Amino acid sequence: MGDNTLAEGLATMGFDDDGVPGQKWHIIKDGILNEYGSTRDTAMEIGLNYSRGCNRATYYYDQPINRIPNLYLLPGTKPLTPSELIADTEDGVYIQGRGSFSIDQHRINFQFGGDFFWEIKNGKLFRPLKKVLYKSCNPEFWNSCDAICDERFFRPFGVINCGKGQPSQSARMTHGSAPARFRNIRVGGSQ
Amino acid sequence: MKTEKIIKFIREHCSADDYVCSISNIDSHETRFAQNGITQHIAGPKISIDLTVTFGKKSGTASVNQADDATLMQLISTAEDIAKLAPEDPEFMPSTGSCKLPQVQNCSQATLDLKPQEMVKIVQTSIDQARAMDATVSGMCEKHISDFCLFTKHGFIGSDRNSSFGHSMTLKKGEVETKVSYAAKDFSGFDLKKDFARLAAQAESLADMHSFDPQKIAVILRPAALQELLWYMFWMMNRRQSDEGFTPFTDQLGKSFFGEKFSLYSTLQKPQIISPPFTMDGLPTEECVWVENGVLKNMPTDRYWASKQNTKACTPYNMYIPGGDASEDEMMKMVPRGLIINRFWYIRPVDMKRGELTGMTRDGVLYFENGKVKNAVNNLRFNEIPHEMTRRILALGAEELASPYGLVPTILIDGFNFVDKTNF
Repeated sequence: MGDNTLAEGLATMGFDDDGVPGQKWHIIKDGILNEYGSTRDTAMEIGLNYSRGCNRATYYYDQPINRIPNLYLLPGTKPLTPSELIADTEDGVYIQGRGSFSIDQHRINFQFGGDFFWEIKNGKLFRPLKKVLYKSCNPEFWNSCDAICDERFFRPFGVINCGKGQPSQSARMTHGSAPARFRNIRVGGSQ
Repeated sequence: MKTEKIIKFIREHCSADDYVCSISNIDSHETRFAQNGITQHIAGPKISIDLTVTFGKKSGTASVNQADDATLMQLISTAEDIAKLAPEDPEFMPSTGSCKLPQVQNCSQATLDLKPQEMVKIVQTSIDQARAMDATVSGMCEKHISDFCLFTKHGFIGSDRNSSFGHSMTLKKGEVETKVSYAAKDFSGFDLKKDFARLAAQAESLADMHSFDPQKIAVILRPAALQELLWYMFWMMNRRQSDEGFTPFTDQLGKSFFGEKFSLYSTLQKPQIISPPFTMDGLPTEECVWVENGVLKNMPTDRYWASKQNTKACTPYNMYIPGGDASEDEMMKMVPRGLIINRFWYIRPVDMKRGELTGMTRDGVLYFENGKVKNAVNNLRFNEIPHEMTRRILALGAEELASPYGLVPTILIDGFNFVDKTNF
């Protein structure tokens, strides 16, 4: 979801720098790319007659540009706790936190880490692991998501220094999700 | 005159036990272009006045962007109100006093004289050349003249004027996309013809890109790539964090921790790069030897930690890595096969304690074999430890300007650790 109405969201606002109200919409719906974030300028370019209110500048002297809204993974609709998700996983790694992060200039190929790692064996947290990294590309990664815990476990996080644009600007926005499972991801150490 | 007026006003009206004030005046021209047309031009001066005041050990900071008396009064009262509410800072250091600063020349007359009309002409020529090869180009032509002044209650005052010029071009033709950028304090070193020729050559080579799997392999890192990687290592070389055991440099001062071919300095002696005459701590800039012939000589240290450790505070204000005399052609003959790396992208720490970084190549990776370039290859991700990498330096080329703050060579390194490949 793109959602600039999210309570306490870092990008939440009454209106953007075009004067367009903050909105909530599906960026991806049921696995299909639904609609981009847009400004009054870019909406016209992609054939929309409305803007999603994403025009934001960092400081008074910056040119407003099309920025990412608060963006989050919707929680699962069926009741599912993290314990049940782990119990349903035969062999995997449970990753908490974000750790190291790096993604290419097209925002496709990435490597992420975490802050704490557990090896999952036969549905149980078997032992802690150190220095875990995972690598994937965006379409492959998001298409491999097969379970998301329900809304009780949704947590907002955020970025306060997202650099974009020429001249560069730094914006902030909330990202959030409930614990989710991704199948067949390449996980390993740094070497 | 405006700066003098601000200094006088703060000195007369700020009654705090201590204060540090900076005045930054930047006059910028930024012409952005995309898809073969100019999309925006931002120009004009910006002022920022930042004041930190202290009562006892309680400090507060405020900033304003106007210099009239009412705004300056508000700046002082806001900073003072915050200071009075703040907890005591156990590591507070009183501001520095009067001192002699080194003479530097950070402003280029050629950059100062550069007119917006000439910048538009540079952009138009870039677009014309892209059109001639049935491609689109985007980027930014920019010029900045910065006047910076720092003064304190205890008598430090320093000012510096610096210039910078930059022109970046990202060329897109079909599926091929590649970039070349120039950034320096002196506009007179800019050669659009040379930069565009390089851009076109990169695009041409990428049109015949071969798939290449990640592996440990020799690399020739061009200056921009080396500089990007080593700034991240530089930021990890923090004396306090090292003394407290959080970096790979813990207990390594004075030891041969790097490769013996590697030295790293911040210097006032290279006129090509910007050398601020003072640090933000209010200390005169001095020659800094960080690494010399592989021996770790010093690490960035703030005033508080320097006083605790009975050493001198020092800050990395620019990057100078002495080069050698090997050409790229000679480097390609020193190893059976390898890659030439133009630039890196999105470098981030993986393991701070080990000093390990990750990042990706971009803007053209060339594979060479038997002393000759064979073809371009896909981009690759690395996980690498820069200080260990310096132990595998096989050869150094001539120093080149990599940015307004970096003078570094091309470098040949054995066994660079690539761990993933991209789909472009």
